[in-house]
Amino acid sequence: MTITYVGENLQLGKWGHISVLIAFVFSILSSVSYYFSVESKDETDKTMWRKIGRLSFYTHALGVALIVVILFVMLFNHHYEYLYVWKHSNNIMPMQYILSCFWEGQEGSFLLWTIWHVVLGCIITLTSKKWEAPVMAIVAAVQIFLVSMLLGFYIPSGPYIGIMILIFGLLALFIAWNRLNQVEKLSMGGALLAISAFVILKDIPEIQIGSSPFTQLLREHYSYSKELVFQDTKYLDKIDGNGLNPLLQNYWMTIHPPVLFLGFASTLIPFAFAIAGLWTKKLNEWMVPALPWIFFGVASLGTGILMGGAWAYEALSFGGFWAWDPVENASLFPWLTFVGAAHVMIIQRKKGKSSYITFLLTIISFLLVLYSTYLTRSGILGDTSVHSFADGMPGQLLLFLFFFIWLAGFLLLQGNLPKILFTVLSLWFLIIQFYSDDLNSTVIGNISSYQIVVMIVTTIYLGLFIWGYFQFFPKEENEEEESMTSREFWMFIAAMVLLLSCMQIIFATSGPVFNKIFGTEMTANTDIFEAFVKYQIIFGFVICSMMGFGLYLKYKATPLKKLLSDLILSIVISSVICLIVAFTYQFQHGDSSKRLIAFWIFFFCSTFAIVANATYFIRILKGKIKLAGAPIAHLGFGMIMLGAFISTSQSKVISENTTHQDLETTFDAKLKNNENAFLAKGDTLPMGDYLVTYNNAYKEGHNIYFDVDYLNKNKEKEFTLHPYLQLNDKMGNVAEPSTKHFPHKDIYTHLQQFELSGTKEIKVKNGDSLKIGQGYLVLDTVMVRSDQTGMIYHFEYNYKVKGKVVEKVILENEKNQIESKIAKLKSTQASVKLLKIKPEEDSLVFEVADDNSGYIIMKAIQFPMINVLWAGCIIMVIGTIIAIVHRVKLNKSLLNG
Amino acid sequence: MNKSAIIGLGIIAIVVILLVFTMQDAGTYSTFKEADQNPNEVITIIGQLNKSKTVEYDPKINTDLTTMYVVDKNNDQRLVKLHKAKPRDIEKSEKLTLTGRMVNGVFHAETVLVKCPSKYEDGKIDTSKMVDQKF
Repeated sequence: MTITYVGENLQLGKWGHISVLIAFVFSILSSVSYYFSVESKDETDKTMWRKIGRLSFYTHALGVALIVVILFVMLFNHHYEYLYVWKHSNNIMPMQYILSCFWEGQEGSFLLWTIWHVVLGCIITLTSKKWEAPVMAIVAAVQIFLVSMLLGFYIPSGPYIGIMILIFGLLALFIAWNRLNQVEKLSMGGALLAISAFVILKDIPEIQIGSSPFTQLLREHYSYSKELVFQDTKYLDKIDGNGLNPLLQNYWMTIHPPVLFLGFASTLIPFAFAIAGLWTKKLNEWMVPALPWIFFGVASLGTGILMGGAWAYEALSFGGFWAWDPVENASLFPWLTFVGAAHVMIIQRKKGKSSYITFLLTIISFLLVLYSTYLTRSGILGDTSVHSFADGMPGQLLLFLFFFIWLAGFLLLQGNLPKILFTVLSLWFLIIQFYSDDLNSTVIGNISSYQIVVMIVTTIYLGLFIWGYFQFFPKEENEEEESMTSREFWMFIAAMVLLLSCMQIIFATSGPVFNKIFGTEMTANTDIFEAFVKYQIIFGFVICSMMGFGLYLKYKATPLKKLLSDLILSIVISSVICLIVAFTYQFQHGDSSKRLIAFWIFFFCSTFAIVANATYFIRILKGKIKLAGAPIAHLGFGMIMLGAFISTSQSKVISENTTHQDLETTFDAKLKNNENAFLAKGDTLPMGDYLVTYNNAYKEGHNIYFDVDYLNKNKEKEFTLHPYLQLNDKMGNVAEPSTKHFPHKDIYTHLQQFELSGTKEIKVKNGDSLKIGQGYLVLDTVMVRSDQTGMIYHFEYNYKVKGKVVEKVILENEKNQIESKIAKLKSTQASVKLLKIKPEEDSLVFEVADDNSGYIIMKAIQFPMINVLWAGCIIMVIGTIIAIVHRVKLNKSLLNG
Repeated sequence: MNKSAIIGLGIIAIVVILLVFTMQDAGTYSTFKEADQNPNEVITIIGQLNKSKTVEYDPKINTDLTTMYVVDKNNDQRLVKLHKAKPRDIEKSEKLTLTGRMVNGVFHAETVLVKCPSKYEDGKIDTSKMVDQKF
C-alpha cells in the first residue's frame, strides 16, 4: 500500500534534479566542444566549436543558477521532506543563518565551489580572447567532476565500470590514432584490453555517484524510514528540522566559506592557463594573462583563511586563531604554493620565458586544493580532527584528484613513450584500488603486496617527473647562470622555501592518509609545537629576512655596496625598535634559552621585514602607490608574521587558579593544570592586571549569557564580557567565548563549566528558621484570614545574619492562590517564596533561589598585539589588489602597443 | 656542478630530512598495556568511556581534573585522570583519543579529543515541533 502524504512538494525536487542534469550534461558538452575548437585545424570549425562551447557553458551556468535558487526556496520554506533541508535547518533559525545552512552540508559546499567556477568561467569567456577555448575546456572539465558530486546516481553492481573504461579508452585511442606509431598503438591497445578485462571480471559492488539534495527524501533514508511518524500522512506538520550546528551560527561563518571557496576556485584559472599553455605549446605566453589571476587567488585565499582564523578566535573554545588542525592546514597548502608560483612567475614573466618550476607550482596549487578537499571531505581524518565530515565520497574525490594529476603529468612529460607509460601506469593504479582488499591480504615479509604496488608506482611517478624536468626546455648553450645578487635568484629561493614549508605541513597533516595507504597506525602529533611550530618558525625567519632585502635587489645583479647602503637604515631602525622593546617589555620565554634566542631572532626578522618594506615604499618609490603592490603586500605579511608570533608566544593565561593546591601535577611540571579559575557568584579573583567578578546570568533567546566584570585595581569596573552558552538539545549545548578588544591586546574569556543559581525546595516545621546564604529567616508575625475567595495569609520574617536583623521579608499570597509572591532579599542575591502550607504536618514548604550558589569555571587569556595580525591581513590584501590593478594595466598596454 | 643543481640537491635533502623528522615525531595508537610497559612516555590511546561509572569532576577542589574510566581496544579498563576541565558532552562520547602517560597504573592524560556520534545517524526526528529548551 502506498501512502499519499499531505503537504509534500516533490515537484520542487524534480526541477532541482533536472537542473543538476542540465548543469552536468552541458558541462560535458562545453568541455568537449572547446576541446574540438582547440584541436580542429580549420578556422571556421574552430570558431563554430568555440561558439557551441561557450553557449553550452552559459547553459551550464543557468543550470547551476537554477540549482541554487531551488535549494534556497527549499530551505526558506522549510521543506523537511528533503533530507538536506531537514538535516541543516530548522524552524527557529534566524534568517541570516539560512545562508550558512546552504553550505553546511557536503552538497552545498560543492555547490558553492561550483558557483564560483561558473562566475570565474564566465569572466574568462568574456575577457580572454584566443585563450578562451583551451582554458574553458579545462574549467568545464573540472565542472563535470564537481556537478557529478550532486548527481545522486547509482551504478549497479556488475561489469558496467569495466565496459565504461573500455569505451572511453577506445575513444581516446581513436582520437590519438594518427599521432602514434605502430609500437605505441599496439602497446596502448593491449594495455587497454588487459585493464578493462580485469575490471569487467571483478565483481564491483554498487557505486553511488554523488549525492543530491533533491532526490534524497527524509522518509526514504535508511536511518529514518522506519520511524513511526511516517505512518501519518500529515507528518510534515509534526516534524522540525535538525538545525544548524551551533558552532556555525556565527557571522564569520556566513562570510568565511564564500571567500575561502572563491580562493579555492581562483586556483583553477592559473591552472587552466598552465594546462592550456602546455597543450597548445604556448609555453611562455600563458603567464601574461595568468599572473593577475594568481595575485587574485593569493588575495582571496589568504583572506578566506584568515577569516576562518577570525571565526575560530571569536567562536571556538581553544583560544587562538590557529590550532594547526588538519582542516586549517589543508586550506594553507595551496596558498603557500600559490604564493610561490606568483613569485616564480614574476621572474619568468620579466624574462619572457617559462620554466618547469612555474608550471609545477601553478599546477600543484590546484591539485592541492583537490587534495585538501579529499583530506577534509572524505572522512579519512577520523580520529585526528574534530572537524572531519564523515559523509564523504572518497572514491569519487580520489578519481577527481587522479584525473587531474594524470592530465597535468601527461602534458608535462615530453615524447609519446613517457606519456603512454604514465597513462597506463595511472590506469593500473586506479584499477588496483578495486583490488586493494585482495592485495592487502597477500603479505610478503612484513609488507603487503598493496604496499609494494603503491611504492613502485610512487617511485616510477617521481622518476618520470624528474626525467621530465631534464627533458623540459633543454638548457641553451649560451644561457647565463643567475647571479647570487640578482632579484630573480632570491625570488626563486623564496618560492622554494614556501614549497618546503608547505611540504612540512603536508607531511605532518597527512598521517591518516599514510595510514590508509600503508596500513600503519601513526597518530597525529598532539603537541603542535613539536609537529609544526618548531619547523615553521625556521621557515618564518628565512621568509621574513628575504622579504626585507628582496625588493632592494635589482634584476640581473646588484652591487653589494649599494645594497648595504640601502639596507643600513632599515637595519638600524629595526635594531632600535628591538632594543626599545627589550627594555620596556617583559617577555615570557619559559626557562628555555633556545626559545629566548628564537624569540629575538624572529622579532628582529619580522620587524625588519616591516621596516624595510616601509622605507622602500617611502624612499625608493617616493610613495608612488601604483607601483607599490609588492612592498605593501610584503609589509602586510610581515605584520601578520609579527602579530601571529607575538600573540601566540606571548599569550598568557591570566585565569590561573592560585587558590587550590594541586598535588596531581607534582610528578610532571609539564602538566599545567591550573589554567581555569573557579569563580563563585559574587567572588572577586585577581587575574592579570584585573580583578574579575561574576555577578549575573540571564537567558535571552536560545542563549544564556554570563556577565563577567573586569575591574581595575581600585575595584572600578573597566568592562564586562559576556561569554555565553548556546542551548541546543540535539547537538549539545555549546559555550562561546567573549573577547574584549584593545588596540594593543585582547582579553579572551571562555566558559568551561557553570552552575546556575540552584532552586531548592525546603520544608521546615512551623516556627523553625530557614537558612538562606549566610543567614537565617526567622518568623516574626503571622496573619491568616479567610473570606469568600479563600485563605489569605501574611507572614513576616526577619532575615538575620550573625544574629543581627538585616531586613524584613514579607510573604503574602494572592487571591485564589496557595503560593506566595516571590520575595527578593535585598541584602543577598536570593529570593524566596512559600510553596505549600501543610497543616497536617504542621510545616511549610519554601522554594529558595539562592543566586549565590551559582558558579562559573572560566579561562581568560590575554593576547598581546593580535591586532597587528588583523591589520597586516588587510594591508596585505590592499597590496595584492594594487599589484593586480598594475598587472592588468600592463597587460592592456602590452596588447595595445 | 652548477648552482641550480646544488640548489636542487639541497632542496631534495631538506625534503627527505623533513619527512624523516616528521615521521619520527608521530607516535602510534597504543594500548594501556603498552603504556604500562613504557611508563613516563607520552602515548596516544583510543578508547571508550565506561558510561556505567560516573565521570568525576569537582571544580571546587580542582578545576582542571576530571577522573573517569576508559576501556581501550583490548577491553582493558583503566582509571584516567584528565588534567583538563571536564569536556562538554563527554558522557555522550563514543570515542576518546587520549594523549598522556602512565604513572603508577593511572593514565594521566594531557589532551583529549572527544568524538561524539554523528549528529545525523543517531539523531531522532524531532516531532515535538516546539523545541522545549530546558536548563
